[in-house]
Amino acid sequence: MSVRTSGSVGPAYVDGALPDLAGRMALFATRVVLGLLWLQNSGWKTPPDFGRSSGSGLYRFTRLAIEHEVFAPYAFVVREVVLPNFIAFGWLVLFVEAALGGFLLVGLATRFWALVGVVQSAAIALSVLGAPGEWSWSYYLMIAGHLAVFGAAAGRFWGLDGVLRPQWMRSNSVVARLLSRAS
Amino acid sequence: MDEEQLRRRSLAVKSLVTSSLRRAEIVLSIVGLAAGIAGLVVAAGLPVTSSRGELVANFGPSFNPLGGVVVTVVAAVGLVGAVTRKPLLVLSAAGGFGLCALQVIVQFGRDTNWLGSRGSNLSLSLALAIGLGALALTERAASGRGILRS
Repeated sequence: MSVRTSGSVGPAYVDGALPDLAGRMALFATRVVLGLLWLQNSGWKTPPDFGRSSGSGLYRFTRLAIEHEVFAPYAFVVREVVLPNFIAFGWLVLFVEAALGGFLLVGLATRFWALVGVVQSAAIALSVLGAPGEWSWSYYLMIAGHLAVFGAAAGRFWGLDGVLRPQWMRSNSVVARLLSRAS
Repeated sequence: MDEEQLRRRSLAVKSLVTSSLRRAEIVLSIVGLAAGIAGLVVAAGLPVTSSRGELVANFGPSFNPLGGVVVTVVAAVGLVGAVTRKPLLVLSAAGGFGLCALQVIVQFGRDTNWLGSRGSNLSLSLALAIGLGALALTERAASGRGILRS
């Protein structure tokens, strides 16, 4: 990827180099596709019981962490902490995934949400990686995609981070400083 | 640099900032408008407040006819606010999408679901509420105090 140079662009681009048009388009597409991934997948986490009574939906996929164990400590946490508090866990998953979709789509606080995406992708991988028929590379690719969006601060290219960041950089408020770091 | 030059530079920066903010508001409003109109099209034939909406392009958000109308109207308010440079209207649209998100949290998966929505609508509504809200608040600050004072 060739680069062009720019002035003060923040921590992700300390040498002042920015991607060219093709690079910016690729980062934009990656961010939006990841946003749509979470937007679509927040659709089937259905309250109020998230599939517990029928053994389907989020409950079925969460149980896979125990039935087809990938990592013993994770399976222990799912068995002892998550399943006994499954409704609260279901709401947490719904909120996190809906927020991931929303924030990545518009490109706001993108670096922070990309890291959340890495964590959520890893949690899903640890739940279902050992289940029959799963293609493990899909989860590695999800993690890699979020890492790329984080590393390249993809919200700065045709995202709200790019529009609002100059304002945050000029402001002395705590919120603006936090958003500046998260973008 | 004399005072007149400083004033001109401030006005130029303000104009640049507010125009990029407005462009972003227009884009987000059009996204909401497209989703609402698509919802209206796919939900044609459903009862107006059907608790199970129809998926847009088999993809994510689902709407019944009322859901399609609500999202279309709220997005149109945002678009009018962006085009006519009225951040308060854009902020109202952000509030409207915030209420749509709240509706999903309260009614998704239950027998009563006024807008026929599901989790994907929560994601879309959050995107538009937070996006339009952040832009409108920043625009107000930029045109009112922040830029001109600094």
